[in-house]
Amino acid sequence: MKQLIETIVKPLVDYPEEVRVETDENASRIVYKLSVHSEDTGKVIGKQGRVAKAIRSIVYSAAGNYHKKKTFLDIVD
Amino acid sequence: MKQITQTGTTVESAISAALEKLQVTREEVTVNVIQTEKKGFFGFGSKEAEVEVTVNFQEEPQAVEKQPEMAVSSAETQTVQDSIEDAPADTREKAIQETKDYIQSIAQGMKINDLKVTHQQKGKNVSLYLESEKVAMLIGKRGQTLNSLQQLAQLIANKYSSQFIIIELDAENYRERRQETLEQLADRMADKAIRTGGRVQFEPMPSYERKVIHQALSRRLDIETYSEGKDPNRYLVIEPLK
Repeated sequence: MKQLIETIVKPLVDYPEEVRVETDENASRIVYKLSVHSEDTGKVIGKQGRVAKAIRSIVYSAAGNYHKKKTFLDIVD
Repeated sequence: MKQITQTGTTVESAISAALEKLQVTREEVTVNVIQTEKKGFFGFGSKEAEVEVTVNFQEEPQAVEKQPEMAVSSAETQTVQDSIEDAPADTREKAIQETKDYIQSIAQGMKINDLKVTHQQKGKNVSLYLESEKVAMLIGKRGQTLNSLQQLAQLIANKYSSQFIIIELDAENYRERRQETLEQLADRMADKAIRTGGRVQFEPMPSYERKVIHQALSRRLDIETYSEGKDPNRYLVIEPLK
């Protein structure tokens, strides 16, 4: 899962080496916390959150394949 | 494979509600009746009908025809290029290749290992065609995943290309089928607007899907169509003309 998020995000940004994904998991849900270089934040969010929405919908549709927990993706800075 | 269960007062109404939700026609689905309705007495002991509706992608005639045709072109890629616009082909070629690799790696991340991507290019428009056993997963509910992938692919393509290119993703002729269902939906919704005499709202859709509906209804003189709201939550409204 973490890897999928990285594969999606890395090619989009200018500083791929600064892409970090951390997980925060409890019994009922998993939150993936994505952080990127400060100059790249805009790129992964996009106009009106368009890119963020696209990334989320792919991650969520893949999530069912990995585990049955509720999945969230946060972009943190 | 899309599947939903739906309840309704009768089996028929449950099926039609499910069809509306999935935005497909009766021919495209298999219906499994879980529970038929029970009338009961003054509402006591009554039970709603419950059906399970599954969308069959395979039974689409176009999809079946497409398979052998694609198989013939055994080469990984087929390129149709406009000879007039040869000059910037270099960065475009690279952009297309990078985009394909990108989609491929995302698919692998989704545990889809048999994905085949072919492309066709016409000027600045590049259509990518996806083929896989599990392609339904890449399409997602109402093409959500496919649209998302398309958006990201477009970003990647334009990162590598010096000239603006438009990426269109398609799988199992989804776009064509979607256009047909949208046209049918448009007609149904227009009739509903006339019947009820009030405005009818669609759910939010991307611009090119709204365009299909606007076009489909442009010939009807008894209604008008317009869109409201801001992208990505912009939605279409039909209003009957008095």
